[in-house]
Amino acid sequence: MHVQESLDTHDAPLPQVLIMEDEVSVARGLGMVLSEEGYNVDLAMTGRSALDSFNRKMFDLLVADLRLPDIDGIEVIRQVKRRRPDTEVLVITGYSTVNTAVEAMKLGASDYLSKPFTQDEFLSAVKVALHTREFPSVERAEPPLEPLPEDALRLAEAMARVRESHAAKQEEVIPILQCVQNAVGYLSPEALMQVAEYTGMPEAAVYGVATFYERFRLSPVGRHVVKVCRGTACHVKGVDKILSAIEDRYHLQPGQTSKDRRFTLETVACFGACAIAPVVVVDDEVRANMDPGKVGKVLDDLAAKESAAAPASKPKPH
Amino acid sequence: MDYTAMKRQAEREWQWLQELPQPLISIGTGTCGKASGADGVMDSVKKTLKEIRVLGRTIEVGCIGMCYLEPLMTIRKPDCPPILYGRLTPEKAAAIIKRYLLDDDPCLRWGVCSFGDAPVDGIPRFDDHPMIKGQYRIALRNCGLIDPSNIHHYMARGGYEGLSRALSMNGQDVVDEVIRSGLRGRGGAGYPTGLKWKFARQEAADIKYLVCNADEGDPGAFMDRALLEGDPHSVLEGMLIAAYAIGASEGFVYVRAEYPLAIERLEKAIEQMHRYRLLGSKVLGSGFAFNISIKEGAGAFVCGEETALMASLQGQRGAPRPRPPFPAQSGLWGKPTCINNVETFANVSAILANGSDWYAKTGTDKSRGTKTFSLAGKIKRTGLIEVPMGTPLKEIIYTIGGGSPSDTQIKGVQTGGPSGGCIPARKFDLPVDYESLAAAGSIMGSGGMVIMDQHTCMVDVTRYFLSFTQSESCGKCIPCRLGTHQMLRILGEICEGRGKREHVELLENLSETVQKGALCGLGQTAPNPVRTALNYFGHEFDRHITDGRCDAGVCKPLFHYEIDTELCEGCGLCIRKCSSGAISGAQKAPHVIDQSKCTKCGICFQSCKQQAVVIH
Repeated sequence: MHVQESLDTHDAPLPQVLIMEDEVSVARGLGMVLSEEGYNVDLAMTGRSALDSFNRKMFDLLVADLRLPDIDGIEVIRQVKRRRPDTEVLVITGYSTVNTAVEAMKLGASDYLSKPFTQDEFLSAVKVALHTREFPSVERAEPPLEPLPEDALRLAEAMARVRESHAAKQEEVIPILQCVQNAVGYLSPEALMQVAEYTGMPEAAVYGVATFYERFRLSPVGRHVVKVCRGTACHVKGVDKILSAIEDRYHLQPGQTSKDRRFTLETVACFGACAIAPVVVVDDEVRANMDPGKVGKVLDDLAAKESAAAPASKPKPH
Repeated sequence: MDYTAMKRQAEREWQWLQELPQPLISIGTGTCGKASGADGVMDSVKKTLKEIRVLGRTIEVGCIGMCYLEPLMTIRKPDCPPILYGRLTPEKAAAIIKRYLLDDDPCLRWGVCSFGDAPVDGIPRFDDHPMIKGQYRIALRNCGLIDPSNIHHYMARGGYEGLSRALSMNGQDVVDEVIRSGLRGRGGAGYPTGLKWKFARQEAADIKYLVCNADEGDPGAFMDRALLEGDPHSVLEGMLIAAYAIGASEGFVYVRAEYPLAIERLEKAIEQMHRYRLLGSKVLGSGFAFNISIKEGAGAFVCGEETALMASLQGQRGAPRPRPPFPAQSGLWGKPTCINNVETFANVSAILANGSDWYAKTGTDKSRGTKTFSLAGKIKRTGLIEVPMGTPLKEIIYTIGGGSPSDTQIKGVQTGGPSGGCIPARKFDLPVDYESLAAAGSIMGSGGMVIMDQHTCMVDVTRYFLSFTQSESCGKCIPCRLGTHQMLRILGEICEGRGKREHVELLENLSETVQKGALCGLGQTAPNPVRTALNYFGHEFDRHITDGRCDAGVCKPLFHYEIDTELCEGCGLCIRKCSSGAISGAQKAPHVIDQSKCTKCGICFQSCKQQAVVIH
């Protein structure tokens, strides 16, 4: 029971806030307001103790008074931002001048409140400050690609092959889906319906199989599929850095395709080529001992080769 | 053609190859070899032979296990001991061919070792090579030595002798022979293979199935892939023997779709078996009928679990079901089914050929024989090895594996993948067998060993395994579906620097609940990485939670890079390498990292020659 209770509160990680304010009553008051809203709050009465807290713990937000008994509040913000650049900062102060405000904002503070302010103003500023850190990655998500006109033809050809080489039985459904995906590149709703019809399975059951297995994809892919191995050896040898290098460079998340349909980025649990980790597989060719620089070059070469071959080359399925 | 005639023919071909009056060049073209450029080396060798007008023969062989030296090539000049060369490029291979075959300069500086008894000055014999010396190869007996696509090579080296002997015995005697050998399942759990067969044999049914589990899903393990690529017949022969012993008439190899080369080699091997009447209605002219088909998996780790695997073979979602009934009673389509692992079958064919007494001589009392392991991670000699059961971890890691590749300290070894645990360096005296590893909190697993050093963060590795099991959980039972999810969240919090004291206790509680409550092996063993990490590397959790520090420099919010001004010589290498332009400084003056721009990619840390970039 103990476990269950603790789990419930755990589902949404509580934002950690540090209030740096030398006036005890103000600090406690603000702390109470935030605690009631479900934030985890620590207090620091001096600049030094605030920096100490940052040494011990991660905070999502620093609420900073600029006038402190020991160090200048601006200096604290500067140090915090240097060590933990992703910490949000909300400045509060009694002596508001444009200069200090500008300086704090230049250091990366997200907002500036002059005393006196109301409880609501404070809460909404805190919410806005924390909001900005949660959302930037969402904008990148792109809508799935539209099917290509030739997909229907490829599906028809694949189904003809399936009828020749696979019995119309449920036990054949995985090989059939693989055959279709190899020909078209993905499994469209139409493809799932045709497979259901052929095997005599309910459409929902075919959909269930297609969504259970990692290898099946339900939306179109690019001309080249780049698969990054997430195996243990690759992980230990830093494949995450390779993955983020590709993500940053092409603005792709795993499962996404670049707008020009050149690359689809995917991850695979393990290719079993651990002795030559980290590995990346480009169009089914295993590339050994990769690093962020090498993988960039592999992808650039591919792009260069493609644009050299024909500017309007036709996409190939995988 | 009966077996003796086939064997004679195979031996003649093998003998001819061994006594070939021309140079014989074998190149390892397993997946590791190909990925490292073996195909390019092969092309270059063929081109060079033509160019220098030497009649040489090239063959493709499987993986010899020295993956860290790939691509590998062996040259056997007539009347000379064969020499193995490593880390080849097409240019280097061409140079060796020219110099050795034309000018008789064997280029020993590129040589790794020599084969045969005659020593070659300057390089060790294969059997004396530090990576090979402690090994004893049963399952891998042919890997890297024969052409896997040529059934004659396999037969000439004793292949299908086990089957021929089994067919001369009755099924029960074959089962007893395997029981006597003490062979236990190599897939991970270590259930006695002979007993499994006995139960399947006892069942009366109109049809029985045999399945070879080649769904090697453990990240960090590749023994089964190498075996299927390098010597598929040894596995298929084991399947025939098992099928004969239990009375099965249909066989399946359930193999991962991520292993296209293994599938290709299996297909070829099965085609050859049909040609030689090793499959079909009258195997080797006896009354025994058996057929094997290949089934590709579709990327679900849980399908390594036998009930999930059977669901997948039947075209369903690969969700496990409670046992009993065990597959031996009610398996595929409700019929008795026996499921064994790839390596188990490769051992079976050797046991039947050489006898159970021979096999039982190797290993420990409770774990007989040998075990293959894949060495990967922070180790000098990565690759595939096979050692007698009971070999101490330190011998595997330091003697065979050669220890750390750089001057870093090895921290521990992860065995058993997501179902296993990490054993710390101070426990490296531990002998490798089923019981010892289980007592240390890990498992034998299928044989993946990933070595971790001081730049590996154990909290992060634990989170990695949980993210794996969590995403591979089929979702059928609640302890696994929700338990792994919550454990992953907590570990994420700790890695992000939001860890709390009570998190450790919560992890321990959850581990117990998931282990006791989950339906199948995936869930029951999912907490193992957490438990061993807390047990052996608790101090790392403390550092993350109490001090907000990740000493390994992995958990990004808990460390930053700084340049030690004393050590920095101002060479500018890090400035050029840094992709986010975070490093500045004049030439020959100490450089500085702008923390607000630094993405902690670590390229400066890795590239600095003075090791002036430090983790803070």
